[in-house]
Amino acid sequence: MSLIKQFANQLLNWETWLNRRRYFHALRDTLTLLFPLVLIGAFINVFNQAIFQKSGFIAQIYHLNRWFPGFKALTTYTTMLSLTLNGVIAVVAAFTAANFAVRAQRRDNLLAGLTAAVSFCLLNFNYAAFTKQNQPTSSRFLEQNLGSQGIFLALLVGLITGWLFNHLAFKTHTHQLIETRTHLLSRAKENWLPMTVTLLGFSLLSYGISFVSKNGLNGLFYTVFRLPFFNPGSAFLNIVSVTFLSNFFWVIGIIGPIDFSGNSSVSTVQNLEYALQHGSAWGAPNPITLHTIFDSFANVGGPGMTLALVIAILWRSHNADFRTVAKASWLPSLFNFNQPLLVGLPIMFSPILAIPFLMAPLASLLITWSALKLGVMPPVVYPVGRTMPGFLVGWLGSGGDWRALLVSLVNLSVATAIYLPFILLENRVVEGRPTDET
Amino acid sequence: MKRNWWRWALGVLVLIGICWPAYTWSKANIKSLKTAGRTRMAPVIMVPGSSASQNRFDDLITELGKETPQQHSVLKLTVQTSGKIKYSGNIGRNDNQPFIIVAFGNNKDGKANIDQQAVWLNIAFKDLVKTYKFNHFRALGHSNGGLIWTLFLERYLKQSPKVHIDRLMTIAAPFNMESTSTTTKTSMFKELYQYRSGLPNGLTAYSIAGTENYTSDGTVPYNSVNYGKYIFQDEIKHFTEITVTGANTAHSDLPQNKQIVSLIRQYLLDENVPSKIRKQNQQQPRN
Repeated sequence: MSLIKQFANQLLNWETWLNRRRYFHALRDTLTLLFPLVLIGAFINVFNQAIFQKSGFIAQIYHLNRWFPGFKALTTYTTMLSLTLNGVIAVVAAFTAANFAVRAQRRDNLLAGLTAAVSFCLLNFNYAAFTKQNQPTSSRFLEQNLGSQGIFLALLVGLITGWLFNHLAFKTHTHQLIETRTHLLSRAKENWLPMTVTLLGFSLLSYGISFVSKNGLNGLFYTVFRLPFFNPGSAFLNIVSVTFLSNFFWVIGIIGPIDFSGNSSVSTVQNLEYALQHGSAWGAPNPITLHTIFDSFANVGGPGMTLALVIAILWRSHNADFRTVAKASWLPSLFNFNQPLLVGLPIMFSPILAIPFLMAPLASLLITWSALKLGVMPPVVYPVGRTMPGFLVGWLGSGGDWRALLVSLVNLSVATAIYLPFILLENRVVEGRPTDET
Repeated sequence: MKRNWWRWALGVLVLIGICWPAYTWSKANIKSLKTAGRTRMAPVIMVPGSSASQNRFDDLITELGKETPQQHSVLKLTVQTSGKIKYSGNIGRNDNQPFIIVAFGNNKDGKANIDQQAVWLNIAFKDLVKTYKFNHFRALGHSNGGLIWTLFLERYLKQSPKVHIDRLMTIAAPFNMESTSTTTKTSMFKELYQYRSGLPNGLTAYSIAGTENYTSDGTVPYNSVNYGKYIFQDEIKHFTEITVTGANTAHSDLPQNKQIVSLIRQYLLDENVPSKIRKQNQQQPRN
């Protein structure tokens, strides 16, 4: 028991120590500042992908596309919202990270932020725009890298820009409530060196990368990070390690090497064909795949079983901040969008929450795998959507088998039990700081 | 306390309001899946030549992807010597013309191996038909892959009676192996010739030859490719031979040769290619 206590204390100390690091602190601040934007983005995703999209869960079960007035127009409208708001979140992140990184040193935070945002865009220039002259539609930026996929790189660019400003700016910045032209121009004079160095550095890097990777630095990142994810097959340990690695990437802001895409893999199609022929999911040829155990059972509320985290927080947490975030994010989490929790709590870059975030899915994998091996329930063979509430996937995907629903609920409770000690540990932090409570 | 009671009741009501329609939807969905099947899909199945892996056509697929408006998903298979199939990649839900590449664990040259590879192709083919339920397909074979296809069409396609081939395109397929002669017949050719009546009557086939000089593409003799006419003529609906010369016509460059890529687009994929390419394709010198 004392060993656990010691470990818990160590963890708390480590977290406090980390939070005192200047750049780490800036990172956490950035994520929290992004929370409202990400939250709105997640709600838009719910509207767009779960409700106003033909394949969305709510749209499917209520047949919305048949009777809801203006369904098509709403699809277009919400898709536009989703693509724009969520599509440039990384640029915003780069701006904010640089902004926070220079504040403590009293440098020009606005100019640093703007420089970082432009630098990040530089890194994501689409060099194919030069070669495809006959196709004017091709975009000038690698748009897919400007959304949540790009957050890791954006934070990195922001912090590097901040570091450069901290070291290269000629004078500290004095904030003026009402700006004068003289002051604005003196800001330019004091910051031309870090601005030039940053822009030059990142532009050269971007051009250099373009000879190696078609999709920019981010594309290069993703190819490297995706390398371990080729076809984990049906070996349990492979699936476990792939899941662990993927969730770890989420914690550090590299979102989505493994996507919820199992519906179209060959093993899934084979399972479906079998089930359609035999009228039952029992005895499907590939009972253990990434899709049948990870997608369907270890992804409740998004990667990391985050619905369990929401439950744990609302149930036992005394941390007012946590409760605010959880209350705002439970609805998107029901439809497996957990980005608000990742940046709001934040789970990203938080050692205390990262541990259960990594462990809870593994426990679910183990339970599901045992249940399948022991023949307690049939595997998930019928198509399920990305926005189907996580705890219903087993039930609906196995053709309405109540035992699968039971396993899902057991998974959810076990995951909650895994999150709970860490929430209680966090409570101690809060109680140690009485100022926060009042 | 009273407020809490209301909350619980509302929660349960919402849960039922979601679970019940979800359950009926999933039952209806399963029923409609049962009756629908996937008959609209017509994959393009590609077989690489000897010593090439399932990644042989990556360059070709990138080339095709550059121009085509339609995105094709790619599924790759490798048939092991034991007959077990390893899959990678997947086919998108609404993709009616996916690319499927079939490669072999033992991809060596030689008649005995090619005979065996045709049998393996049949194993993979049947598995694909069982999984994806298609009844039409198009075939592309590079080098010995063309021979494997021809053998398969002659001898094994009958085993899947519901499935029809629309088009076959072979690129530098050495129907008379490495022989440069116009008279000597190799045992490979003899086998292909012997079973030629098994070829599907409705087939449209294109045989493309690449030539670096007047006699070969550096690996496969032009005369050997030309032997295809003895196998296909009068057995199938259409048989066309096309010769490509110029830049990048060495044997292994052929699948990603720009000219051949546009031929594939026009003749195999039946795409609506721009008139510029159509014209270019028709200006091919025939010899």
